Amino acid sequence: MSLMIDEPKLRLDKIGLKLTSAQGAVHTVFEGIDVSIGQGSFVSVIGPSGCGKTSILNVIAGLVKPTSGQVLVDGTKVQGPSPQRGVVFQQYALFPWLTVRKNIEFGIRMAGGSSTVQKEVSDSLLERMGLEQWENAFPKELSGGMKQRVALARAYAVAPDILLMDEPFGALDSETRVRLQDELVAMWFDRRTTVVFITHDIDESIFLAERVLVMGGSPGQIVNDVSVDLPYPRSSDVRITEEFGEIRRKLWSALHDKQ
Amino acid sequence: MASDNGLLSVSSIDDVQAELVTSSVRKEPVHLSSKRSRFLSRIGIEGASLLAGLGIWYVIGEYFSARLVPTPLVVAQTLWNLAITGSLERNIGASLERVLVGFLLGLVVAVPVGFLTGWYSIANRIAEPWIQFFRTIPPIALIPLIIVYLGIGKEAQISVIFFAVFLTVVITVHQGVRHVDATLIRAARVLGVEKNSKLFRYVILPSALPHIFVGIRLGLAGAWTTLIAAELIAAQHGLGYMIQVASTLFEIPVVYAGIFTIGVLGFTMDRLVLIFYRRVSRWQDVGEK
Ligand SMILES: Nc1ncnc2c1ncn2[C@@H]1O[C@H](COP(=O)(O)OP(=O)(O)OP(=O)(O)O)[C@@H](O)[C@H]1O
Ligand SMILES: [Mg+2]
Repeated sequence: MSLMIDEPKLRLDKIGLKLTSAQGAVHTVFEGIDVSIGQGSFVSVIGPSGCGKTSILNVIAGLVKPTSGQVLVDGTKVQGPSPQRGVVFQQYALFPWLTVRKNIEFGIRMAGGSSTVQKEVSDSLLERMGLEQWENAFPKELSGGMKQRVALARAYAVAPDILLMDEPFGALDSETRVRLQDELVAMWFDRRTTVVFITHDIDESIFLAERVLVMGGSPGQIVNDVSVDLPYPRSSDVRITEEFGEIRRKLWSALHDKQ
Repeated sequence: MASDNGLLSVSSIDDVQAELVTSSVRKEPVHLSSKRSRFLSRIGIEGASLLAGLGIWYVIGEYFSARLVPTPLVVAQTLWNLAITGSLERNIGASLERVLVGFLLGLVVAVPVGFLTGWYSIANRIAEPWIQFFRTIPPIALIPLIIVYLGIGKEAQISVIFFAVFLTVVITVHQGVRHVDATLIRAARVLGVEKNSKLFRYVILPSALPHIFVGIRLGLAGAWTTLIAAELIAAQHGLGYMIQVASTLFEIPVVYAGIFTIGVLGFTMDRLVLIFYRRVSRWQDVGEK
């Protein structure tokens, strides 16, 4: 699906991250990560807990500076966070003092968008996410699945070029998860946003993405890069196909070899 | 949580915080009753409690001589008489003015200072030893010195109140800022919040609001305590002054009337703050605190 033009949308140029603890011990979270991701592609990243997935995402987002290498977006070095790279956090991170609608509008408001624009965008996202009845609710009143939808809508509202998602569906029941996966793929299809999706669920990583990066080891590295040539839209039946099983086996052994 | 190099971990603040939070959405037994009748039953219980207190006071007052322990009726009569002459209003006005001015000044200075020390560790390092040092000194201990420098006018009392309120509020604001969820700051950054001033306004301030309100309540209580102490020691007006004069003349009912008035004013102000707090904190997740 993705057309690789000469310049990738997102390039991780040999990035590494070392953290120094309070005691002065240096811990290498990951190193030598070198990946190019094409415009409009959907890439998932899978790996065991603690291998540095969230850390990589933070570096791509510009929230954490890599200690070596650089992140390039359209060939330009990332210097800090930008609404151009939206993030859906592992822990929702909704603003608890804002209503659902105000959470969704936050990014547009910060960009100085008029209240008409704010309302237009949030109206359409509320509808799309099935959150209309909840527009005036506060996050504490929402279930996990609804919170995640708000987080997704809030990230989408600023129309980012790149969407970075950190195990967004990890805490949901399987039914809600499947519904949100479908919504996500549909949105991605519509907007052709470049998506980097972190998960530790093998099936999820295959079902959603065109390409799966497997992380492992300590310090974290990319140990495998598997492409998923299954046509979209994918129905849940795709999980029982031969190709799916083949990729699943490949990922499984990649995850369990390098431990 | 308290192990960071923050300004404090004063348990009393956490207690008030807990109280603030629990009382803001108390778990009432859920009958089929409407919101209104629940409200009435709660007012009913509070009212009955207050009435019972008055009754006990009345019985004790009857037992002693009215010159020693006046009954609520005698105190009410005394308040009425004081009000007719206008002296009650004058003294209330004087005390209220000092409390409000001192309190507002303290608040206006403490909030930005608390934000700075909470946010910038260099500011914290500079201010922390000073605040800790002065915190151990009861503001009342400064009164003699302030009398020497500023006399016994309202400037003197306002200064002591300012000092008391500042120290209380700066610490709670500082704590509030340090407790802001780092993920929310990151969320704001990736949604386009670049300037710190915007971050303060849209993320830090609302996050820290519950702490700030704890500071306001503690600060207000401290303001009253300090003011009355100051007025008892040296003043020309005010409720503390009224009590002081009455006690030297052995007018015990006037002393009672003064104490009662202070209690009512303090209680009312606290309630007003609480009502305001509940309005602005509907979003708070009570179960988690
Ligand atoms: N602020 C930090 N200070 C020190 N070490 C950190 C910090 N953040 C992360 N680490 C360390 O970096 C490593 C990778 O953490 P990270 O959160 O990126 O893992 P992850 O792959 O996202 O794990 P999970 O699947 O559990 O979310 C861990 O060993 C962790 O202890
Ligand atoms: Mg993680």
